[in-house]
Amino acid sequence: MRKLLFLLLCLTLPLAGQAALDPNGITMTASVNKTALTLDDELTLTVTVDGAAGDFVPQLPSMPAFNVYARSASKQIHNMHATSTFEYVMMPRFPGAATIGPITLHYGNKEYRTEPIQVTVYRTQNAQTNTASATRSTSQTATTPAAARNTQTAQVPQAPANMPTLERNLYNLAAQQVGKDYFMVAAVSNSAPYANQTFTLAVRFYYDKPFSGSAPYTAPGITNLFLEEIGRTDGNQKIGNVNYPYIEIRYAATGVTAGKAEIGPASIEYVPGGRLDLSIFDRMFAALGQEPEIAKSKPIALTIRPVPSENKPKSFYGAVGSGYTLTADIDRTDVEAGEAVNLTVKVTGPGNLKSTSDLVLPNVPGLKTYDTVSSSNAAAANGTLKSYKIFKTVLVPTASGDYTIPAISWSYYDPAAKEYRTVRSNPLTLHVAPTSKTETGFDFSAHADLGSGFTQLGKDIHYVKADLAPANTDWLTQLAELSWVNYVALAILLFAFILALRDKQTVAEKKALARIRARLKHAANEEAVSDALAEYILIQYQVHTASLPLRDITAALQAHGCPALLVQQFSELWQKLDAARFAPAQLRSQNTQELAGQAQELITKMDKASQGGRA
Amino acid sequence: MKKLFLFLCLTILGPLAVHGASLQEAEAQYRQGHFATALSEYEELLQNYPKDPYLYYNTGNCYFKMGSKGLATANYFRAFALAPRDKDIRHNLSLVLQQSGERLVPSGMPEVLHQAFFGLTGAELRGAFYAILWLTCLASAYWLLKRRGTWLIITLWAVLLIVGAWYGWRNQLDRQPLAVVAAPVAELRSGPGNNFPASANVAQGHLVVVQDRRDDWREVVVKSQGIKGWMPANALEQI
Repeated sequence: MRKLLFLLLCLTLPLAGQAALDPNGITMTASVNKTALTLDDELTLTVTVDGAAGDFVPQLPSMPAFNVYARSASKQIHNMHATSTFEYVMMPRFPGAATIGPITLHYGNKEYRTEPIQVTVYRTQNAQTNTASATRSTSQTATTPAAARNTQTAQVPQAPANMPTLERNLYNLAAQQVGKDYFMVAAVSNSAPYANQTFTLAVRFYYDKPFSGSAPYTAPGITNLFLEEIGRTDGNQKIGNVNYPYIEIRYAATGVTAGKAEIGPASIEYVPGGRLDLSIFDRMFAALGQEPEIAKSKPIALTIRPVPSENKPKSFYGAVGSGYTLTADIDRTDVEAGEAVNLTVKVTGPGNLKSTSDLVLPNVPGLKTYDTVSSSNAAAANGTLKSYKIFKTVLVPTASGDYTIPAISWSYYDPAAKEYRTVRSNPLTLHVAPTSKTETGFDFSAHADLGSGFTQLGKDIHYVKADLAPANTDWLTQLAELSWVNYVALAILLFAFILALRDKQTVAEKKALARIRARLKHAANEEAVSDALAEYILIQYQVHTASLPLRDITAALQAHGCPALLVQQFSELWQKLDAARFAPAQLRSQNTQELAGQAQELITKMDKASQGGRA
Repeated sequence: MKKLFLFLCLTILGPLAVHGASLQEAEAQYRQGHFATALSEYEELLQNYPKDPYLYYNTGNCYFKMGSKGLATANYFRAFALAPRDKDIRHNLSLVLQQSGERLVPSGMPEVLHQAFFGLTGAELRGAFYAILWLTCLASAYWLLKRRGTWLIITLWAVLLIVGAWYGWRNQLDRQPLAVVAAPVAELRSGPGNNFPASANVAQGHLVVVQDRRDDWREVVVKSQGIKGWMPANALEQI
């Protein structure tokens, strides 16, 4: 039993000890980015609070050796565990060894403190004299602000020359207000920036007497500018011999277009009174019944300059600053033709990219490019404004192959170097395979209500045939196989043609002969027979029978090659026809057919004789 | 005698019975939606009956159901050439062409005229042309010798001219190197190679006329669009 109790005691003691060490499980650490620096260097103090939830701000110790001019805060929550990081950008004020005292945090009725940090500040060669005088000045200020104000000379103190421009401007403006218990100043780091160049606007409210804790602040109005708040901080600044606490708000300001711009007055409404050593509740109650007062900064007139037009690259879209980066990426590198590919181009850099124009993406043959959509965002980090702009477009390859999206360029004007610089992305390769998409066979588009209770739902192919096609036995198909008959038919035609060519009788003659035979066949009297016979003699022998005596006709026939026998027969027939013309009508009708037959017979003989003679 | 009868039965009716069984099996597979199996059986049958339009028709149906409209079109065209009067073949060919944006009946031509133009198969039309030619030759020979029957000769020559023009036109269409895009999408390029830029994508089922060839590339004219270019030979199915 004792052993068991001892074992339990051994197990629970470390846990109890840890709980006693840190019941909330919170740790706070502080670190600096460098422990040795010169007067013109910046020092970043990072305070990390691990395990504390909710809103809180660590309290910085009095740091007379530094001016804190920027503050940022970020929080990460992982597995219900919060880690808050606070960064302070500080400028050393004096050379020598400086100590950043413990930073305190009140959280859950417990105070957390960090270890002090030792930093050595070296003087710069060109600032040696100024820093020395500043040191001397500091060593003389071991008095209260009121006493110091009483000893303030009529001469307005000037900011040390090695101070950053913004700090110097703030200092000089504040120095003009020395003597007042509350005042507000506003200054910019650059009074003539380029369009789209980001500069810093700082608004400080100095006070050497307490005021109500709920002092509402009104941001300055702006013309032709973008304004983004990048941090709030508080601190102390010795102006002349007076050590003023102050509250500062910083903005990143960006000129929109070339021309005039203005920053209006910022203001704070406060209720003065009380002592600085009172708690905030005591100060609030002490302020009751007092009239609020307003502290205002002076308006600032700016001139926004246009960027030089000389050597301005085509890929310049309006960005001014330095340190821009550009990345381009596609969501996939292997696609099929017709599929969409997302191209994303991201530009990251200082300042505000809102007013820069959209990137023009290169046109790649074979890739259909859709409209570019852009989005931008800006965020404060380490007292500066970082922003990015994302351009997204959809590329659709229309055919297979390997495509190269060329390097995308982004140019900006670097005011420090006074020249344009260009950043480029890497070329991207896209492998496109032919599409493999197929369509369905059924045509649903044919859906239609045809009325009468019949609705057509679609069209489809007809069903397969269950048998082989019937054998094609039609006679036309079989004839098509007899191509050799073509040659026979053509040979017959050719033979007939040759035979026809051998027949010298003209077609006209044959037609005339046929006509004459028809006339003879249908002859009504001897005169018609005579006329038909006379026509034949004329066609066949070119002998005119009209008004010629028979003796002359027969002579002409003999002269034209008609055989003598046929001439004799013609002579006899001709005489019969002449005689019949004057015969009684009763006899004539009997003789007409007989004479016509004789004439036909004679013509046939003459025809043969004529063809025999030609042959 | 019995042995002879048995031999005849085995040699003549045996193959027919086997093919009948294959057709039934293919049809059963098709009915159950096993189009790939049915297709392989129809293609096997086609090796024995390469002139059967119904087998081409059934093959086209299988390809259509499998989503390959290009190969379906090619087979329907083969069936149509062998049996142009078959209404099922005409329907399926018209439907698949319509789905591909093509037309069986040229625009502006009445359907009836198209059916009349393809009312005879190529062989039938050739047989008709031969018959009229023979008649005309014989009648003309008679007329040359006897000079009789002139109107008959005129009529025969007129009919021969019409049928000859019909036959010639059909013959020209049949000889046209027609092909169909069989790949899902074929790219039309400006030259015979992948290094030439693509000018168009042609979906499967589109009809093209092959005009030239270079290795594995074919120069084609897309009939419905009238555009010309080069396609890979393996993307085409010759009809």
